Amino acid sequence: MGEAIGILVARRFRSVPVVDDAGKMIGQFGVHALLRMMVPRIATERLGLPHLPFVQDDLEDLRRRLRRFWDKPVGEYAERDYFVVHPDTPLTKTVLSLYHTHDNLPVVDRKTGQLLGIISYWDIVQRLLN
Amino acid sequence: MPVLLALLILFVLGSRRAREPPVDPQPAPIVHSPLVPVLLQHGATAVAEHGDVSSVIFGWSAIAVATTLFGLTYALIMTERFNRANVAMLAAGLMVLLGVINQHQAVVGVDFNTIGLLIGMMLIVAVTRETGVFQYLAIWSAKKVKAKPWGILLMLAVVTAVTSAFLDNVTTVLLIVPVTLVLTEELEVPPYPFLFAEILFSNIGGTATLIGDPPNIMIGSQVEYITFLDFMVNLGPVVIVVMIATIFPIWLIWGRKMTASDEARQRVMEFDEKAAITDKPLLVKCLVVLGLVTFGFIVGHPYGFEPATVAITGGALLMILSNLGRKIDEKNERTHHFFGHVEWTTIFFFVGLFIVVAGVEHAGLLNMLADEIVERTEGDRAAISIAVLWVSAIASAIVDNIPFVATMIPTLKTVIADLGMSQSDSMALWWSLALGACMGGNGSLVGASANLIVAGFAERAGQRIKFTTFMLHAFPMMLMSIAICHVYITWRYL
Amino acid sequence: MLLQHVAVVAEQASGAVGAAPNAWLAGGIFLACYAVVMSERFNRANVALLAAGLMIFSRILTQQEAIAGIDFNTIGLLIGMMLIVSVTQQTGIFQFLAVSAAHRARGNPWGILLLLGLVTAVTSALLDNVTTVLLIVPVTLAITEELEVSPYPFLFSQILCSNIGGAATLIGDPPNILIGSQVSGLSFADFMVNLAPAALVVLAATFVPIWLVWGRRLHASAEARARVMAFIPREAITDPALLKKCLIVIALVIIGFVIGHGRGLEPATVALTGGALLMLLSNLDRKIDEKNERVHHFFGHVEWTTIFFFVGLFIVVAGIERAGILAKLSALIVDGAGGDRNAIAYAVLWVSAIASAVVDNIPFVATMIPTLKGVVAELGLGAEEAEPLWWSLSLGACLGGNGSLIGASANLIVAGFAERAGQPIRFLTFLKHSFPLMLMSIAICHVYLWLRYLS
Repeated sequence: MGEAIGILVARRFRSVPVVDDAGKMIGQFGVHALLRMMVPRIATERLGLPHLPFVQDDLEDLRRRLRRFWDKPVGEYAERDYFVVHPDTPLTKTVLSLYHTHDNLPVVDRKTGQLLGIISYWDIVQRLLN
Repeated sequence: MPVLLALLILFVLGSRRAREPPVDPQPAPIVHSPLVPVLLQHGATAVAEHGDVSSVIFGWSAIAVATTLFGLTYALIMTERFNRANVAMLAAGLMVLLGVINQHQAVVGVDFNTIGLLIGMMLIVAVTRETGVFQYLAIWSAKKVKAKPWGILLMLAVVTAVTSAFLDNVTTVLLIVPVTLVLTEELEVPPYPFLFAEILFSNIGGTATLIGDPPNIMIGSQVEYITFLDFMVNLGPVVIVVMIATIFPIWLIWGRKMTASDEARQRVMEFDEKAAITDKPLLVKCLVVLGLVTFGFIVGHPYGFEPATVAITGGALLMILSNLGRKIDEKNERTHHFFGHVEWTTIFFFVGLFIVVAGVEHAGLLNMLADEIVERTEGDRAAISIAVLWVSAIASAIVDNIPFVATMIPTLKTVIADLGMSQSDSMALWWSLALGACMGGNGSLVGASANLIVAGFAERAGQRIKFTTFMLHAFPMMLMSIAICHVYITWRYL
Repeated sequence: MLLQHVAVVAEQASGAVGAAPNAWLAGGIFLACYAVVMSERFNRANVALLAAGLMIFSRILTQQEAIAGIDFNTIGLLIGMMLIVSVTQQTGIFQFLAVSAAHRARGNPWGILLLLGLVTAVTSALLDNVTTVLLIVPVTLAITEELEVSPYPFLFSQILCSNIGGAATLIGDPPNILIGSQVSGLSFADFMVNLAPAALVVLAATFVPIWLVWGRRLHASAEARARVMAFIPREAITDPALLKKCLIVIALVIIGFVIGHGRGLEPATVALTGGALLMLLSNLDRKIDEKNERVHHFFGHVEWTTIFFFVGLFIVVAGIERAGILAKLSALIVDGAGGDRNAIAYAVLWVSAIASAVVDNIPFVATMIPTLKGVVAELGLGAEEAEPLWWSLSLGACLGGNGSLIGASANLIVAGFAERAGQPIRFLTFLKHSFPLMLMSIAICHVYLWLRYLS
């Protein structure tokens, strides 16, 4: 976990894909998942407590929460719900996905689930200008 | 393809009935139903009596079709393989399509007093939950006991019980459990004992009033002479005794070993409960309407104002009040949202079940069941009461108590009529049914909807509650509570 | 106009009939309820429910009588159809139909307008209008954007077509559902046979002015048309397996509607059973949690505000009926028309049309049905002779909705879409175009009624 968070912070990625040993995409880990870990679990669950107006805390409280996860493998905390595109996805649909996620999209093989690469909005805009 | 299966079974059954003389009814597809022995003994006469019901298609026997549908419905609901509302609605549709009853009889069979009361209370709750009053209560009570874990457990259990008595259990735990999980996470104690206590107390507390639990709502709606106050006066005392008795084992098993660091307790003490109230004017409106509605329940009965009228009017009034000062689009949006918060799956489960029960009642099955009860117990009121208490408790621990109670109410009504009991004599039966069905829900994780809701929360919070672990703790406690009820009923009514 | 009548009648009822001292109170609650609903300052379901509660608390009705006043056939039919629609709309069938229509028309704008209008009319006849436009309008906007033509004529024609199509069947529009449920003896087939011809003629006639005003000037470049032709209709279908189930269940339900009447199978039973069956079928092979989740979601898609508006209205109407007001109103109508059935039928047609253009047609029809039943009884008409009155009410109330932007819920939905797409529809502009068209359609119905029933 510590390592993954390091990558996110150093490169300022919003998220990175998480793959298993065979290169198959199993999830996505990013700032969203990270922020989620720093609040009481029930606050981010459906029908939970979405606002927590009554909690008073300081920086040390957040650090304490984060320390609990620091040495765990990132696969456990990767988010399983994520958008992907395939090599044959139409461009309009891809642009629409980029618009909805505000994030890079992993490109995944339709059959094997292998991670083939990442496409960002910059890639598309640059191609348009050339 | 359960539908096709059902149709196939019906067809086979029906065609056989058509060929054979109607003296040897064998409702083979419902071997697991507790009604089979009854049917086997009484089937012959009953079919002869009701054989003239000719509106059923292909000239099938009404009682066979109705019983088969009834058995299949309950079996499918128990397998928990399909959505229960869906199954009940489809079965209700088949009751009408196959001609056991017509649509008019089906509509008459639906107890709209129960339905209206449920919808009205759900609407009121949908508005009230937005105010944050439940979080306020939970945090306030936690701080009252200086954030000591055992104290918090006790306080939360009592808050759960009192809230469950006036709102439905599912809503209560939906609102209390998330705060509980935040508190236990801050205190770094395992949440299981807290959730366990809340499950038990939500079911026990719900037993105390007419509106606390679906079985009580149904009994209160369908038995005309029982009032809101009757429930409080007759069930309230035993509920308090059971609550006190339940606390002891919880203390022995978990309570005495609970500790939290001073640091953790300090963090909880820093919580600001006042910040939990998100909308003070709305809270005032909610409390006013809830007060009016409770007042209406208590004084309405002699004036002929039924609970459904009171609850629905209260719901509409609260929605209008909560929408004052907003634009019309927003009003419509919010009203739509409040209606969306009503548990329609539960409502339509009720509607479907009422129709299915109306079908078997119309076909004569419930009369047979009532005769059987009278015969077995030799018409002894005490024996019937105690049997109803224990059978409802065990049944409710294993299966959903709503279908059970929906079937038992018309059956017991017939028993009462058969034995020519007076209203005051018959009370013991109704209290036995209410106590057994409500408290029996504590017997297992699937015994009541609130239990499953809590388990769902625990799982999402990474603290799974195992079915067997829960049963190991809960079943003995349920038996203990029923034993207390047994003594209470014998002492007070028999 | 109706309100004045009610006031007059309430006075008479309370003065003349000593047995109904609550006529003033009942009339007052009724008037207040309708006035507040028309002011559109409050949510209408809330208002109706509160008024219904008042009817009971003021002892005009007992809860028992109130429940008996609710027409559960209407309620069940509405809920059942809404459940079926909420499953069906996930399949993408409507998008498929719209894109296919564009293909069929070879990207020609007028052709697309015409075909989309027909698709809207047919779909509205079978499903409710709001759902139809909710599903067709977004595709329309995507197509007009590609064609670089103004969407207004398209949306305008779809509003009109949805209301006209809805008039053709028992299940097409709430007024028809109400009439079909509460007037025993009128079957699904009766509605088709008696109303569909009128709806067809009106539909054809409506396209003439639309062609004159906009159609003949609609043009799109060959390039734009090629872009629309590049849409792939098949891709719009998101779940072919589910679609098959939906089509089977819808077919079964319609068969049930047609053959059920006369066998004692009411539309509510058919629709609700169909809804339950479709939910069950659409959930096969899923986990139980997901099944529960989806059923909850489908129920959430039912327009509960509409349902409870109906429930409240039924009780309020039962209240004034109980207080003897509607009987008086019936007598007043009979007197006013000199006992002439034909005069009453024409009056019902035109009054319903004008009223429905100005206010919501549901409360109007809910009040008119028991009133007209009273008229039928007073005139001693047989079921056959009474039919033209019901067709007048249905045609007037359904087609009257075309008279203004607030005449029907579907109109407002379309306007909302247009606004979000940056093409707001002005109330007055719409009125200028639609009101004359509405009058024309009612005139056609007048002739139709005269030719077929009243001559």
